[in-house]
Amino acid sequence: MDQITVKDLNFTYPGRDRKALENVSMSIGSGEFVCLCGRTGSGKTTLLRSLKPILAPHGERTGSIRLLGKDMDELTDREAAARIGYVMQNPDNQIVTDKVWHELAFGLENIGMDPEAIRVRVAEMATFFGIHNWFGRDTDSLSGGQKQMLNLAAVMAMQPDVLLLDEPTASLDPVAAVDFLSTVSRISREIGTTIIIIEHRLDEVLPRADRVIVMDEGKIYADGMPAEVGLDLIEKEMPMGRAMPAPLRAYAGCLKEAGGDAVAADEAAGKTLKDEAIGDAPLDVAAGRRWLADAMDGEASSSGKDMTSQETGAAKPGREETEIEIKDIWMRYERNSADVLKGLSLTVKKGEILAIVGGNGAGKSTLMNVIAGAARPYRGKVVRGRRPVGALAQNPQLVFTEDTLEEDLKVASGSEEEMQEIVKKLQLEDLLASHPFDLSGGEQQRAALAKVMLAGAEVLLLDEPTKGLDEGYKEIVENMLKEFTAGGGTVIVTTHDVDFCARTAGRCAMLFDGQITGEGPAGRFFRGNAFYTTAANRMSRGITDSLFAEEIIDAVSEKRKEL
Amino acid sequence: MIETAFTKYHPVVNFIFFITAIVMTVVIFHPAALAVSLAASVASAVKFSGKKAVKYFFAFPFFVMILSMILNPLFVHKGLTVLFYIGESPVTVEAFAYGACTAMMVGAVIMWSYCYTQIMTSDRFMAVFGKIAPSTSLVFSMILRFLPRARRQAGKIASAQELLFVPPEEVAAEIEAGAANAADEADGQTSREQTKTTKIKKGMRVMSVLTTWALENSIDTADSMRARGYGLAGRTMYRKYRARPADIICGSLILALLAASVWAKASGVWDFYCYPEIEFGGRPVLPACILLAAMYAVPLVIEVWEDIKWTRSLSKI
Repeated sequence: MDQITVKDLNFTYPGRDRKALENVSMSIGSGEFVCLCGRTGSGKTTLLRSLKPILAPHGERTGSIRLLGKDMDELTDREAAARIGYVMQNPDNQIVTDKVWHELAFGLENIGMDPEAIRVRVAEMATFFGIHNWFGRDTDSLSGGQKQMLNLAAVMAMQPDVLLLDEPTASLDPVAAVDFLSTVSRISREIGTTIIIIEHRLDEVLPRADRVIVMDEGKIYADGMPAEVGLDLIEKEMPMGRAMPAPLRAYAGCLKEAGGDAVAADEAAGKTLKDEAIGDAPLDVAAGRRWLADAMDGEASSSGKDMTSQETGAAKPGREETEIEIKDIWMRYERNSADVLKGLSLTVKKGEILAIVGGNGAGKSTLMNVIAGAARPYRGKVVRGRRPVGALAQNPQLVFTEDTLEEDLKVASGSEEEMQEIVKKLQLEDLLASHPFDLSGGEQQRAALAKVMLAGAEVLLLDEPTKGLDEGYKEIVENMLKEFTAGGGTVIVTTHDVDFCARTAGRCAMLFDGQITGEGPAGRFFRGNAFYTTAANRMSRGITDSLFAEEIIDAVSEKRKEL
Repeated sequence: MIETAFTKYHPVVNFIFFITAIVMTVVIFHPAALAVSLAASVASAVKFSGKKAVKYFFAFPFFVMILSMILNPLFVHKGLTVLFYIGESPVTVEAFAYGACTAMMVGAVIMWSYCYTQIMTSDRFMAVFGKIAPSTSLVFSMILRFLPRARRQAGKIASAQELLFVPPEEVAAEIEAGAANAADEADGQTSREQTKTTKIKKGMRVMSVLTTWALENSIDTADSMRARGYGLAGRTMYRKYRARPADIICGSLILALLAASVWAKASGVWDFYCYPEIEFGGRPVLPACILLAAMYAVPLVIEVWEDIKWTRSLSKI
């Protein structure tokens, strides 16, 4: 039975001309795991919120929505609250109470459940989600990943039939994000809850999803099996295609190289090859490896080694000036706490993009604070050049002070032209009149980047600059940073985004346990890692040793030419 | 927060005990009763928190007690038994006695309050009042969640704003000195005042951003609450703590001892006057004192009893 049926839904926000949703129709069956994706501003969140009556946006709506076999208006408040669960993006804002156990019980208290039954339910949920170890703690003392897991558990405690998630991992680090998403997929498999998730981490979600719905400018652009939709998007060179998992992109690219003609011809003949292609399409690294090994005849090639020489923006040692030099620094926050940095040394060269990678709690943010001068090591030396430094905190919200973005940027910048230029580059024109806090996560990130660049620093310290950005904007940011360094600026980024690192950074340094454990030109650095590297590299390790899907495509087509 | 034998009892029992102890300390103004209360409060605090409690005692209540003992005879000249004169003013035995009793009372109340904060954490407190005032207790819980968050956010905002543009150190020093000089010449302001005004300005900006942050994010919180059915009729209250027979026995025991002490107080056993001359009620105090001591010692007895049981069960292993 269909649990959600949307028919010809149109929606316009008050005071806007453009429809946020246009003729949206879909039906989702019981127990399906659906991934809803699309670029920023494509109407994903509007659609998802429309499915939760109490959160449905206000505006002009036509068409019909049927939920749980009833018309949306017939659903009682109680049913809507308990049977449709909704998890939002920001883990902190959703938590209501100060204790973990109270948060779990909150929804159940609201629907007037008997305290004894709540006791059982809370215990059950805590065990399923692995919360029992921190059951008695203050919600404030939890990590971001734990907070979001608590939000999920608190919603699931009400035993909803439908679970809606709006970019739940956008502010989590990769490890916590994978943990969260595998719990979501476990809910789907073990409990059978119908799930609709908006997610940017398609690498992680698509292999687990039954179905993917792609939105574009308020309309449903595609709806189907992940592999099928993905191949279609890549083939038609839609912007969303670039966000598809690397194995799928490599596969699709090779398919195209091998002869789009063959596919087209076959399409006329009855689509068999295409169907087969969809069946074979790899969505995750394991399937990707199998396919690639097949395509390359399992032969380990040496082509990877040739590529190491032509690094992207590789450092030419010897000639550059040193921007910042850090010598053997030791740092701790309190007299009796543990050392966060333990004898760390690092040299930053003028005009380079240096990426500092490493897990949570490795000391990345502390190192950034030391470089910016906000934290002082108790031993060691930091030598900084005579150039101003600008640092961007991980949470972009922190830097805004004014009521509109335009005023905010004016506070930061000297000249009007400079501002216009950066605004244009980061595509912020339409947002200038908005309050900075009203922007979405990705928009805030871009606006904050504009602000720090306008402040006029020549050395930029960026903490997770690509957080919440979709592929298109990521590229814009990448180009801006490259331009900035070409103009003589120096950039230091900390990031979890391996692909961004591999594409943009000249040099990568791995921070672990308070020390730099490895560093080198980005290409060599990632090719040397087995786990902490791009999906394309993991997929092609020992076969083509490529860093990006494009390199795999080239390697495969070269191989085909040889044959 | 600590976990001891006494916290294994229901929060209502804990709460009744502390209120009883504090009220009885204030109500029964008699050297024997106060001495017992002070001794029990210090012993309980040490039993609950160990060295930390000793440190606390000498850091705060001890000084208040000394002060009270010295200041009362110096400033209060009532009483008939004069010890000596300081200048024109007499220093009397009665004023000394009164000061000593007040010192014990204040010390005991402070130490009982210290024990209270160790045992009655926010969720234990809510377990007591949740049933009486459920919506107030939810608000209380939300405030407890909000305050540490806001404090941390303010720190983050201040540092993020500061770090947006950090001039190189030497250049910065020059600029600052130059600006200060210019200001000096212009209107005689010192550079210290200058930095003070910028500091206040910065603080105001952080506050304004913090307010926006709180308002904006509270929309999300409100959504999250409504999404989980807040506002539906018939809200219930989940209780983490269940009453066991032991709780009922312990609670009744405390109340019975309280009743006995109230009766003793009402019948004049605890009568004691300092002025104009020290005067006791005249009836034997010992039986009432034992009852009162028993009441103050309830947590101690529970703790010691648990220790004995624990060592015994250990010896069986």
